[in-house]
Amino acid sequence: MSSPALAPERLIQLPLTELYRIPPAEQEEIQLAGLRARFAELRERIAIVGKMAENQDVREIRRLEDAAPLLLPHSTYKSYSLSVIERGQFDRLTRWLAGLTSHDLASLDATGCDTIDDWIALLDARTPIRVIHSTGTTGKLSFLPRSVVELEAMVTNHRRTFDIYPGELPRISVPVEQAPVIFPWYRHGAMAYHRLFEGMLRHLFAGNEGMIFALNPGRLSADAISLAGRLRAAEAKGELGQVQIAPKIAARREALLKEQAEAPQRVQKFLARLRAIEGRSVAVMGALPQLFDLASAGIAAGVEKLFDPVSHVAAGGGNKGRALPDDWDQQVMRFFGVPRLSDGYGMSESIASSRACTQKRYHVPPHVVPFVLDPVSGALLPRSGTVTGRFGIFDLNARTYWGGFLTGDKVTLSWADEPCACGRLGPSVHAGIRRFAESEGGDDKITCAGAPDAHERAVEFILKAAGG
Amino acid sequence: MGSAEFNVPLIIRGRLIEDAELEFGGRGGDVRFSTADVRKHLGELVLRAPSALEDLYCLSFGELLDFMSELGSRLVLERNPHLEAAFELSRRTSGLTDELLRNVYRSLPRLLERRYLETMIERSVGVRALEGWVEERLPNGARVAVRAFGARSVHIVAGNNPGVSALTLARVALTRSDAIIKSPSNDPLTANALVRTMVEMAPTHPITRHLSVAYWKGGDAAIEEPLYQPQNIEKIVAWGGLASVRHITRYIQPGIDLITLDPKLSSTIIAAEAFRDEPTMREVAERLAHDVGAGNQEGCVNARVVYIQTGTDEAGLARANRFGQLLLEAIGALPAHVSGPAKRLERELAEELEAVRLASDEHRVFGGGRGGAVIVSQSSEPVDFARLLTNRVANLVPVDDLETPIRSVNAYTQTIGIYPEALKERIRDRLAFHGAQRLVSLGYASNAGVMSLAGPQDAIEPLRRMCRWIIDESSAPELQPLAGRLPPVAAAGPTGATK
Repeated sequence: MSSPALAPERLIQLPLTELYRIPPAEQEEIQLAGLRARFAELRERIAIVGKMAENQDVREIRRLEDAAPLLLPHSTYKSYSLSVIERGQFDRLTRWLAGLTSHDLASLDATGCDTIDDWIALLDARTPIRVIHSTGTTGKLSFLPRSVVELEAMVTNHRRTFDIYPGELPRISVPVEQAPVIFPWYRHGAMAYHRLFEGMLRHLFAGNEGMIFALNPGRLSADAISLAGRLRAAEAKGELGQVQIAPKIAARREALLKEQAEAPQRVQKFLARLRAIEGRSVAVMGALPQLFDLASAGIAAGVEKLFDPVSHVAAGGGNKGRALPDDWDQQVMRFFGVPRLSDGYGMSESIASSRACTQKRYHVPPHVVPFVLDPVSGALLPRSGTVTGRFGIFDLNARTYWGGFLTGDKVTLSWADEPCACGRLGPSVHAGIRRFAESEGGDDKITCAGAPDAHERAVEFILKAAGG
Repeated sequence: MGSAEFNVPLIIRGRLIEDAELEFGGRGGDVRFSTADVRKHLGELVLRAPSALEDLYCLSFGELLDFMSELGSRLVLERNPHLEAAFELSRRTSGLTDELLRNVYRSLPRLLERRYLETMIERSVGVRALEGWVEERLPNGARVAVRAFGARSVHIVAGNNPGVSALTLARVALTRSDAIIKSPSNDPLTANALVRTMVEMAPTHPITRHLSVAYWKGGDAAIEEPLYQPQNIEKIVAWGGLASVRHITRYIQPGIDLITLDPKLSSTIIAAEAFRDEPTMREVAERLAHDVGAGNQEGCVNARVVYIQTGTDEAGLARANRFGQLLLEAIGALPAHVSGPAKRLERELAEELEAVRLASDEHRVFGGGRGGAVIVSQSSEPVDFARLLTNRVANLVPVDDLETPIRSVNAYTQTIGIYPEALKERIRDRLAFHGAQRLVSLGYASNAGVMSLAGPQDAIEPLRRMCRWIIDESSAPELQPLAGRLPPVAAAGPTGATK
C-alpha cells in the first residue's frame, strides 16, 4: 500500500491530472476503504441505510461488489405521499426526510409551513440540510437531503471542470474565481444549480454577488414546479380535472401576473447586463431550452459573439418536452461567441461530474464507485472489459445522505483493464448515454430539462384557476 | 432484413399476403416479426362501397351462428397449428405464465359456443333488430321501424388477453359488420390465427370476405390518415392504451364514431363484517386474492387498491396488517391456471415498492419479488403509484367508514368488488354516481364469461354502438296532417296561478 489511505472526500480536491493518474488497484483500494467508512458511519445514523442493509442482508463490505445491493432507486427520494403536499402536512414530510439523512430533525417543527417553499426555507434556516428538488415531471418532486458539508464539494467539483489537462483545450481563460457565472433562469431556488450558486458565493466568489448573472433575480417556487409536474402527469393520464391548487399558491396570482408581464423587459435588461461584461471569459450554465431562448432573443436584438471564445457553455439535460430547431446549438454558440459547447456527464444526485475527454468518454473519478447492472435482472455485470447496462454509482462525496444511487441511464462502460487513449486511468463511460424507456421508470431522473416550459404552464393554470 | 423470427401474414378478405417487407420488434423485447407493408394494400383493405355489406344480409342469424360455432370447434389448441404458433409466441411476450396462458387459449372455443353467442346478442342488440325491421306505432299515430345494421369498422384490439380477439370476431360477424382488425405488437398472431382458421374453413364465405387482419405501428400516419376517413369507415373500436386512443382522436370527424374501451383501474370495498374473526378473514382473503391475482393482475378488472373497513386506530391497523399477511398467503396459494408468480417484474413498480418499504413509515410491505406483495397503508390513503400496481401487488387501505372508498371512485374506475353481498345493493347507486362501471361480488372480478355476456362494458353498450341504428318513419296525411296544414303553435296561457 503505497499511499496513505486518503479520505475519500479529499480526492475531489486533487487536480484532474493527479486524480486520473492513481493506478486502478489503488483507486479501488481507496474506494473500498471509502465504502466501508461510509457504511460504518451511516448505517446507524440514516434509517433507510440500516433498513436496506438488513433487508439485503449486507453486514459488511468486503469487496466493492458488496455495495451493489445498497444502491437506492431514484423513487426513494419521492417515496413520501403526495397528499402531504396537497394537504400541507409538512411535519409528515419532515419525518419522511429524517429517514434519509444523518441529521437529526426530531426537534424541527414544520407544522407552521403552508407550502413547499416555506418548508425548504425552514430547513435552510434551522438545519444544515440544503434540500435539492427535482422538476417532478412524473407528478412528484424528489427531495434529496444534501447539506452544507456537501456544498463545498459541489464547488470543488465545479473547479475541477476547469482544470488544465494535457492535450485538452482550456475551458476558460481566467482563474475560475474570475469567471462570471451566467444562468438564464431564476437566481434563487432549491434545484441543484441554486445550491451550487450558494456554495460558489461562499467558497469561490468571497460573497461577491456580482459574479452571478441570473436572468430573473427572484426565486423559483418549488410549489409552482410541483404543480407543473402534477399538471403534466394528470394530462398524460387524462385526469386533468382532478388537480387542485393549495389556497396559498392561488393567492400568488397577482405576483405571478406581474412576473409574467415583466418577462420580455427582463430579457432585455439581462442582455444589457451581459453586454456590460462583453468579451470576458465566462461560465454559462443552464438547461438547453433556457440557453436557446436567451440566445435567440439576443440574436434578435443584434447581440452576437458576446464573450471570450475561451468560455464554458454547458447545456444541461436535453430538450425534453420542447421542440427546438435543428440548429439550436449553432445559435447558442453564435450568441455566446464560442466555437463549441462544453460536453460533460453529471446528475443532480451526484456531486461529481465528468467532462468529456478527447476520445469523447466520461471518466468516472475515483471518488465515485461505478456499478453496471443488468437492466432486467438487476444483477451486477462483470467489473472488467466493456459492459452495457444500467448505471449505478456510489458517490463517496456524500457524507450526510447515502451516496449509493441507481440511475435510470443505460451506459456502456469500459473498466480499468481497457484504458482510454486519452491517458486517464480507471473506468470510463462511452458517449451515447441513453435513458431507459419511460415505461421502465427511467424518466424521472432529477434534471432541470423541461422545467421552464412546465413552469410557464403551471403559472397559466394558477392564473386561470384563481379566476379573473 | 433477416433478423425477424417469423412472418405475420397480412390477411385481406380471405386472401393471405405473406410478404416480409417490414420488420417490427415485439413488446416482449426479443421477438421480431416481419409483415407486408400495409400501405401498399390500403385500397383492398377498405370496403369502399358500403353496399358491399349486402352479401352478409343474405345470411340468416342462424347461419351466422352456425359459422361462428363451427369456427369455435376448430380452435382446439393442440390441433390448430396457427393457434399453437400464437400461443408459442404469446408465451414469450405475454406477462401470463404458461399454465395461465394455456388455460386462456383452451377456453377460446367456449367464447364462440352457439348458446353463448345467442345470449350475447339477445342481451345487447336483440336478435329481432338484427334480423329485420322492428315496427312500432307511436302515440301520434306514426309508425316507426328500427333495424340495427352492421358498419364498416376498424378494431384496435388489446394484446394482454387473446380472448379479446375472439370476442371481437364474434361481435363483428354477428352484427354483420365489415372489420379491419389491427393487431397489437405484443400479440400479433392471435387474431391472425383465428381469421386464418376461418380462411381455411371457408375462404369465400361472406363473413371471411368482410374480415381483414393487419399489423402496422400504431400512430403511423401514412396508414391511419387515409384509412380513417368517413368514406372508408364508420366505427373505430379501440381497446386499452391511452396513447393509442390519443393517436386516433386526431382522425375523429363527423361520420366516424370512436368507441373506446379505455384503460381503467378496478378496486375493492370490504366492510367491517369481513374482519370479525379469523376464519372469515381467511375466506375473504381467498376471495380477494382471486380479484387481485387472476390473470396475474394484467387486466383492467383486477383489484389494485382495496379499501378495508378495519378501522384506523391501533387495533384497526393491527387487523389490517394481519389481513395483509393473509392476503399474501392467499395470493401465493392461487392455483397455476388462475395465477402464478410474475414472469417479468415491472421495474418501476418494483422500485416504488422498495422505496416505500425502506423510506416510508406510513406503509407496511408484505412479500415482494415475483410472488407478489401486499402494501398495507397505515393511514386511509392509497399509495401514489396505485396505477402501477401489477405483478400481484395489492394496496390495502384501512378506513373507519365507507365514505372514503365511495368518494374515491371516479370515472376511471371500472370494476369494484364488494363484500359483503348486502353492501353492494346499499351503495351501488352512489358508486354509479361517482363513476363506477361494474360492481361484482368479491372474488368474481375476472369472471370474463359473465362480463362479455352481460352486455354493458365500461358503462357503454359496445355492441349497440357498433351498429348503425336506422329508423324508418311512416306517416300519412290521414294519420298526421303535413306541418303546413296546421296552425302555428299558440302561446301558452298564464301559469302558476292554480296550484
